[in-house]
Order: sequence, then C-alpha cells, then structure tokens
Amino acid sequence: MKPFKYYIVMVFFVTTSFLLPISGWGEGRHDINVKVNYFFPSEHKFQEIYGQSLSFSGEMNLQLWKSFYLWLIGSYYDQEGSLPSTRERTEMTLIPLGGGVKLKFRAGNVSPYIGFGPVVFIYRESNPIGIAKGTRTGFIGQAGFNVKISGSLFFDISVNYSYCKVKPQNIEADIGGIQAGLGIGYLF
Amino acid sequence: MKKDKKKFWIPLAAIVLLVAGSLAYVLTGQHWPVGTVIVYSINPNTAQVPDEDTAVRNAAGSWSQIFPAGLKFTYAGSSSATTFGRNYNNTVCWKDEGNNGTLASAYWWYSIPDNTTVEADLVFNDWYDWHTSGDQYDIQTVALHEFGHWVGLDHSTTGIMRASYSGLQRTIDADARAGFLDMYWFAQEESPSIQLDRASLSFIGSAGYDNPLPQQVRVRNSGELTLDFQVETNRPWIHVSPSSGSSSGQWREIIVTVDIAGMSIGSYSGTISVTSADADNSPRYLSVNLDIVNDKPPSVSITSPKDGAVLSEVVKVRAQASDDKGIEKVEFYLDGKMEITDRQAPFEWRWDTADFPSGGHTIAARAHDTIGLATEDVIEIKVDQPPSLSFVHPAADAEVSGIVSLTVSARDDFGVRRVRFYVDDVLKSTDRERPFGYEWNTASISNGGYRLKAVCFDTIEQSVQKEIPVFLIPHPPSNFVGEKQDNSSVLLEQYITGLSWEPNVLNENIQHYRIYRVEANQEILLAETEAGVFTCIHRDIDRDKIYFYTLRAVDSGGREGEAAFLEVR
Repeated sequence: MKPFKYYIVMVFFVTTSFLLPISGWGEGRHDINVKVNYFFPSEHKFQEIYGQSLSFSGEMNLQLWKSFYLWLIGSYYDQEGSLPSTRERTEMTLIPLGGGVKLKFRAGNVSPYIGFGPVVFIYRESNPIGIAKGTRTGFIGQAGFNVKISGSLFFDISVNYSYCKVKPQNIEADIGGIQAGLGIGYLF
Repeated sequence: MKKDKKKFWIPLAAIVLLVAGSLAYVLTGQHWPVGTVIVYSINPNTAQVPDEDTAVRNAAGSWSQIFPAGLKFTYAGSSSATTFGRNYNNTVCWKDEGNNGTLASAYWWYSIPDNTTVEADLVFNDWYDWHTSGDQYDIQTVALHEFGHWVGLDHSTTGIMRASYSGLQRTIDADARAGFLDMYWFAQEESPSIQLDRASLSFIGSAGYDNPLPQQVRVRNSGELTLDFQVETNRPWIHVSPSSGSSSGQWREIIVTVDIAGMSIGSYSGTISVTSADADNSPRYLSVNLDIVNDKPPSVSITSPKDGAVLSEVVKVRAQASDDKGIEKVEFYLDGKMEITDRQAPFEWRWDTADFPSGGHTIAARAHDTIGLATEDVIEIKVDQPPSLSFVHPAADAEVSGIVSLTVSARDDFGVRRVRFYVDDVLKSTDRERPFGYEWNTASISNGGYRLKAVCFDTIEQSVQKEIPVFLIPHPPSNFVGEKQDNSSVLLEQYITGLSWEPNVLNENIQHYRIYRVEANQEILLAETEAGVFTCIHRDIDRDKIYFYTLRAVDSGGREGEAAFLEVR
C-alpha cells in the first residue's frame, strides 16, 4: 500500500475520533464506520488485468428524520496489473466520493439498511501506453446491516454496487462494480 | 614507351686507326631531333686552366654555325657536375681518371627504338695537361671532337673526328660537316633531303663458302615533304633490296648483300647511290668494301631453345660457335635487331620475353671470327605470354550472400584451356568454356570471410591466379513469425504486432538483430535487439492495416545479413 492510501485511512480515523465522544450506542442517532471491501469490477477486462482485490472505505450516517439518514461515503482502490500482451506493468487508482439517502431500521441488535446516491469517481490509469485520468459522476447503491457488539460499537456488513462509465480516450469502460465489505462502526 | 639508355662512350685517344684512306664520315646511329637546341653547362671549377669554359663554348659554337643545320648549342652557365650521369642535364667537366690513354670521353643517352639522343655529357681527363693557348692538349680541339660524338658522328679517318689527337684543329672539316648536315640538314625551302645512317659498308667473305651476311643501311627524309628515292649500285656483286622507297621522315631499311660466287681472293669496292629527283642533296653515296679471304668461316648453331619452341618468361638463348682462328664474338638478334653481344663462351643471351608480344619471332646468333668472317644460325620460335585473369564478379571485399556468381575475365593469345575456381583453397569447379564462371551456393555454409581464387591455364599449361577476399553476410534468421495483438488496458487502447524468430544455426558472431518495417519499398528501422533476444514488439499499429517486416542478423563486423520477410495481416 502506498503512503497515499495510509493518508486517506488516517484522515478518516482522525475525523471520526472527534465525533466519538458525542454519543453512545443506543442513544445516538448517527454513526460512522470503516470497512474493508472485496471489489468485483463490472468490466471483464478490468478483472482480467487487475483481478478482484481489496478496497477501503469509510462512511458516515447522519439521522435526518426517523429512519432516513444522510449517507456519506468515500473509498480508495489502487491495484497493479499486467497488460494483456506485453505483460508490462499497469496501475489503476479509483477514489469514489459520494453519498445519498439511507433508510435504516432498528430490529433489536440488528439494523438492516439500504442506500442510494450519486458518486464522483476520481480515476487514474497509467502504463507504457500512457496515462488516463479524470473525474466522472456515477451512482452507488448499498444494502447491508449493523450488528451490535456492545455499547456503541457494531459490525457493519454491506454490499455496494457502483456504476460509472468513463471514456478518457478511445475506450469507454465502466469503472464501477460490486464491493462486499465488512467493517466496524460507532454510534453517537 | 621510350626508355633512355646509356649507350657507350668513345674515348678520343684509345682507338687506334687500323684503316687509312679516304673513308667518309661515320655516324653513330643516334642523333638529336632536327631543330633541337642543346643546352649545356660547364663546371669550370674542375679544371685549373684559364678560360677553359670559353674554349668549350667556342667548340660548341663551331657546330652551331654550320648552315643550314637544324641543331644548335646554347651555353646555360656553370654546372656543379663532377662526372657524367643520366640526369637530363648536358654537362661538361674535368675529372682525373689517371693515365688511361683517354683524353676525354663523350657519353650520350638515347631513346629506343627511334635512336633519338636525349642527353649527353663530356668528361675531360684531368690527369693530362690542358691548355687554351694552342699547346698540347688543346681544350677547344678536343671539345670540338667530343661534341662531334654528341651530335652523332663516330670516329672517322680524317679531320676532327679522327680517333687520336693529331694537333691543334679548331675548325670543323668538310667531312664532319657533311656528316653533320646529313643528320641535321634543315632545308630552307620545302624540299626533301636524303639522309643515310652510315657512309660505308664493309664485307668479308670466305672464298668457296657462303656469301657474307647481309647488312643494312637506313635512308630517310630529313627535309620536308616526301622523299621518293631509288637505290642503285655500280657493281654486279652488290645487291640492294628494296631498290626504291619513300620517306616522310621515317627510316627505311635497305638490305645490302654481296654475291661472292665466282670471285677470287682479294679486295673489292663499289658504291651504292641513293638518288631522288626532288631532294636538294641528291645523290648521296655509300661506299661498299669487300674482302674475300682464304679462310673457313666460323660455325654457329643455336642449341637452346629449339627451332619452333613455344617460349615464355625468361629464356636462355644459347649458341655454340667455333672457328679455327677463334671466335671474336657472337651477336644475338631478335627479329633482325641486335640485342646483345657476347665475347666469351658459353655464348648466351638471357631473354626476358615479358616485354614482347605473343607470336612468332626470329632469333639469330651471328658468330664473328677474329678476321671478321661471320656466320649466323636462325631459328623461329613462338612467344606465348601467360594468360591474364581478373575477377569480374564479385569485387574484392564484397559482401555476398545466396548464390554468388563468380565470373572472371580470362585471356590468352593462344587460348585459355580452363579456369579453376577455389573457395578457401578448396577446388569447387573447373570451367573450360567461356564465359568462365562458377555459381557458388552459400546456403549451407557459415557466414564470415572467405577467399575466392581463380586459376587460369593456357594451352601450354601456363597459369595465372587471382584471389579476392569476400564476406558472406549472415543468413536470414529462422521462423520469423508475428501476429497482431490487443494490448489495451482498461482505459488505454493499444494494438501491437508481436514478432519472434529463432537464430539461424549457420550464423556465427551475431551481435544484433535489426527489425525493419517495410513501407513503399523502404526499410524503416523499427528496433535493434541484442543477439540473445528473439522477440520484438511493433506498438501502436492499425489493426486493420497489413504490415510487412524484414529481419536481419548483424555480425560482429557490423554487416547486415540477408533478410527474413514477414507479412502480418
């Protein structure tokens, strides 16, 4: 993992640590969590070159009204692969930043939820052919549930689907996909 | 091509007169071109005599004043010469040569075959006492004599050209003047003039034996226009051939024979006259003297080579001669021209045939006994020069490949029998018919340097060989293949041609491979790989276009080999 990746993760945790003292589990209306995801790219070629690999994400859910929450999400994906013929090194970096509305229910210690919203993909691919980079808006949908651990801590298990078509040069590709994530969260 | 040659020198006091009488001038046979100005210089420092240069210049001036003659002397100043030498300068000097009986020596060089004098030197023997006052020995007298040799006069029995010093004589006598004008008559009007190369002929015959050997006299026009001349004799035993001729300046040879059949022992004389209706000096006379003696002539035979032999390179011509009174000399002639005189047995002549054309030639050995009788033996031989050979293709140091056509140009005057072709001294082919050549297939041999040699034989097995180095360039690499491939990443598109090959097992010392893209019959270098790399990528191709590629191995000398070709669709 590059220092850039650590920087993103560190920023996320520093931000959430400021929010932690605000409330405890069962009382708070808001929560934050960090997750490790397994990313299944939608594009077949994406999978061929970079395979299926991990990404990291952080989320914040702020209660708006009853079961409706404002949902904020940021991810980081960076993976190396080989060009199909020459086997030369290629690298893809994706940083989707987005959010939307999440509907979350409380059912004892388990809280299922579903969310949807726009997402901005910051992307960059570099290899001996050249560099393709840019920003493009797509959408993201999420379904999952929280499982209370104790106090304000909980596990978060989710599946995301994102979609974003980009065409920086000649090729148009969907740089989204499915992410299955497992994380830990905090209610406040 | 003319070549200069030191002919001989004639010592003034060394020749003793044997024949007295009224013989006319004698020519050496060499002369300056008519119209020549002889520029000479003197080294006065080698003589301790006052005004010695003035005396020499007076002598030269005497020859210049002969009228109407086309030869002048001009003094060019002092010289540093201390002896004679072939240096294109006509010089006069003094040198102590001891009491050798020679007062002075004239030297001259002339070109062959026209006998044109090109340089002359004069050396006074400083051992003797020289004077300009008229005392013995008088510089002007001796200089006058030696300059006579310069201009082409041989010793005579009278006048300034006498062989021995006979007192003060500072003027040119009529006999020497006549000889001089014979050579250098410069007609003031446009008319021909008769010139003979000698004034007399002498024959010695042996009673009861064959006639004396023929002699020749040469006639030419030393004037203007064309000389038409007739040659006549006043004695029935003198015969000339031809009896008429013409000359526009060239020497014409007249063969003079004497018929002694029925003549008794004794001395005879006669005259040959050369006349021309147009010549301003007609007639000119040539005296002919004949002595018939009671003596057996010498016998001579050429022992080597044999009559009819085919010769080349250096040949030793050997003659065996004998006489009851002893052999004076044996002269060897080639095609009628004397080549050498040998005075000691074994009589032989080392003849280098290289300067003579192929074909028939006549060799004669003429033996003279001590009283002047002569006999000759003549053989006919053929000179066959070695063949000539040169490579037409390939050129020396050429880079070759595939099937190499070796062609040579082989010539011989009498025919080429065969040409053999070698590669690195291994006989590959023998060709007996023109055009002489050999198709050398290099497909199965390693690249590198080879020596191609051709040996040509003529009809007498004389041979000549030529060898040239060539370089066999590397063979084309094997299994040169390629295909188009999609090398695109997720967001970046790229099509490539993947090329690969295998080394050719015949190739040695391969340093690189060069891959070219061929477009419009032009090879555009795409990449150069090291010897151990057998793949190459052509990036950013158009997937709908047809591409042509060539691949060449490059050896350690930087020589590109034959191309392997590939078409990729």
